Amino acid sequence: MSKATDADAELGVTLEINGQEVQAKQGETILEATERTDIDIPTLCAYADLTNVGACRMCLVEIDGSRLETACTTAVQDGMEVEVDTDDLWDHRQTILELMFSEENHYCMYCEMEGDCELEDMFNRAGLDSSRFPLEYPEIDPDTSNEFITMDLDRCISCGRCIRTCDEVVGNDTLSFGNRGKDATIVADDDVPLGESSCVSCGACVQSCPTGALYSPLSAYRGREEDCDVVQTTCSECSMGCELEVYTNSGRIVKIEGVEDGPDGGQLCEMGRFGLLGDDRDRIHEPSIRGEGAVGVDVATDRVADLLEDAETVDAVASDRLPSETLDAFAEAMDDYDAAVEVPGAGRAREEKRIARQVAKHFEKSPSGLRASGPRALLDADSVVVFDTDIVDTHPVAASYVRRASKGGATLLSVDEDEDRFGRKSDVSIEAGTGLDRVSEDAVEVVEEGASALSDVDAETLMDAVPALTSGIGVVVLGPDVSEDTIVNAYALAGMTGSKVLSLPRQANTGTDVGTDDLHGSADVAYLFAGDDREENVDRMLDVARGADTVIVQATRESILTKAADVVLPALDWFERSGTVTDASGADREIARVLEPRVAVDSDREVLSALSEAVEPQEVKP
Amino acid sequence: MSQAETTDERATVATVCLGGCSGCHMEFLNIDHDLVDLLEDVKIKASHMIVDEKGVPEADIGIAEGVVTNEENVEVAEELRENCDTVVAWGDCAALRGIMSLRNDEDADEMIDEVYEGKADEESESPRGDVPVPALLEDARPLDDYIDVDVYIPGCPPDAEVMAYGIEALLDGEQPEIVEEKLQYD
Repeated sequence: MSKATDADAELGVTLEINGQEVQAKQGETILEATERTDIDIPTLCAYADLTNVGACRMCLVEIDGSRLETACTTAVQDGMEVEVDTDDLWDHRQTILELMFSEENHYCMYCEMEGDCELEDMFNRAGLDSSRFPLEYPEIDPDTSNEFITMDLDRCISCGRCIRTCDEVVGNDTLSFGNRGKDATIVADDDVPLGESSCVSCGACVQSCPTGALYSPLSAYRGREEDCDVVQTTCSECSMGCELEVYTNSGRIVKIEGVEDGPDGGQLCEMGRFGLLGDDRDRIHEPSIRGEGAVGVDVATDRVADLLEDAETVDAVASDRLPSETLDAFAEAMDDYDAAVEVPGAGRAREEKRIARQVAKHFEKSPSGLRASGPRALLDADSVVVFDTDIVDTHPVAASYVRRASKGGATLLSVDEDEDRFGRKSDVSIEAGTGLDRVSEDAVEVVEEGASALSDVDAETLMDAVPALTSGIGVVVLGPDVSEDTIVNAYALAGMTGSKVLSLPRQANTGTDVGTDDLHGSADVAYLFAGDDREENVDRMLDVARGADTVIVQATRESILTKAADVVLPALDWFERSGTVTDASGADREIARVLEPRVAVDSDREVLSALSEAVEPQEVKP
Repeated sequence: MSQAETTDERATVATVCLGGCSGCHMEFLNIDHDLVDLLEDVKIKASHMIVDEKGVPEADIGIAEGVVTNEENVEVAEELRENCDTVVAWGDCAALRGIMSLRNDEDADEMIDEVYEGKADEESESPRGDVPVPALLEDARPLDDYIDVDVYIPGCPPDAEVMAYGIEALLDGEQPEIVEEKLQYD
């Protein structure tokens, strides 16, 4: 039974819990039935949407006055009488908690999670003030081999939430139980240190761990959740647009978590959860001019306006991660100086729209009808084709959905020029340029030159090879590094097989039309709005800077680019910006200011509008 | 208060600090002026921060802070149980093991050398053999591994008010209920 059917099911079962009449759906568990009531069944191993396994025994309930069952794994029945809070049940729970306490080294006093720990709360609820069992003091060394995640099994209660998260949410299967009985423990891969394992450092296990067994040293000892302010914003590191829950305390970011009931199901990647937190590049606090050092914002913007006005040709590049409102303000300001404007990656969005329109015509579909609604579409897919498996690095959360689809039984076909990054999860690995690509030549012909049919021999060969694509739901995933031919191919394939395309461009914010000009190449002035961008985009901007006589850089942090600049303007960091970004599936996501800026500018847009205003005829000073 | 009283009707209390940091005793003093009120009902016969009494006298209520970590702690704990009607464990160490049992991972001999050898001056030696220092036990363990405990008040330290409540409840002939916000582990 699918989730959708569950949600639609009627409340047809009536049972009694703690003497209270409760309506439930056929097939749901006692624990699920209480979620619509104020009855609180204690749990430790149940978490979010993970499969329930009844591991911790906290949810033991008494059924019909006789037998004890775990509420998280027992289905409701009509007329059932359930007791949750009898003295006997709490005795059982306390005994189990004492066993947990005595088995590992639980020291609340100096545990990172103290105050935020579900086990500590449960100790308190059960009234555990001593242990009747001999304390074990096992010798357990914390595993600090992963830079972002510390695994200290001194605090582990073997609830398996991390294992199920790694399996069911991330699809990575790094964590599992090793050994048996009392020696059962969490292991990474074949019991190797976490830092040497297949772990992708997404930190989903840290978020799901109820105790201090898995925590991030980046967030450790920075304060309890209850002392934090929480702001939801959107990650702009890639085009997934994952929701971030940012915890701050006294003007510092404590930790970043995913939003479990949000569109991404609480998933984040290493960059979103840890990279944003540990960005140690030096911050640019105030404007500076080469040869003059630090200057005021007004002096700097005046100088920039003069430089732009005096230039014959201006090449302007803005980071693709900026909010649409900022990019629009950028385009407007640069337009006032007749600049050629580029946003790296914006060309792909334009191309893709054109191709989708062309292909859609051949299959009597709307262009949007060829596109997947979002990465969740992968979970319902019977077959998945991935062009460019580097999405494992560039769009790790999308890669999680691909792995989950594969684990869920979908046929996974990977097409890559190099190594297939999905490895054993792929049912078929095809080297780009062979096999599947043959259809692309025909498709390109059809789309570009108006030929009439796609269903020639090659296409049929392909569809024979991947029968799953033609029957059932198919999703074609397009990674960031794909040729135009491949894009055509993917859309054609989607059209032929009734599949949908999930396009994952490198461009983080796909919601803007600006930035598709051809640059001059060697302009008088280069205006480079780098923001907090890194790697490829900074390299691209550096190329543009090298060709220009004068270089103006608006950036958040120091880089080789700001070193090369004649004028540097400070820019906001990701947690200071506000506005809108559009994710790869076309949904608008809000960027909210998490902390007030502590640099000379309060708004990137104000800097840009000051440049726009400077173009107006200047009044002569008396 | 008249000093002429010949019979003292007050209940008697003795506290001892085993392998502890005296943090619980320090925190107890934070009941502040309430200590004066409390003294109307109890006579503190031994408590190293209040009374100059080195032994463990007979008392109605015996209170211990700290883990049992050396041979002297075992003797003192046993004396406390012997001499007092009700025994209370103050703090995480006495109740649940606490920070002092972190040493259980380490080799006792190496640890003693780390602490004593060459520390006061270059000639400082580790206390061993004939040196009159109590020998360490293999593990530091909570109080109820050695004696029966009647009341547990965990916390590092427990709040002063909770410790005072524990004594007051016992004076009223009740078993103190250390639950909910009174029950803490930090």
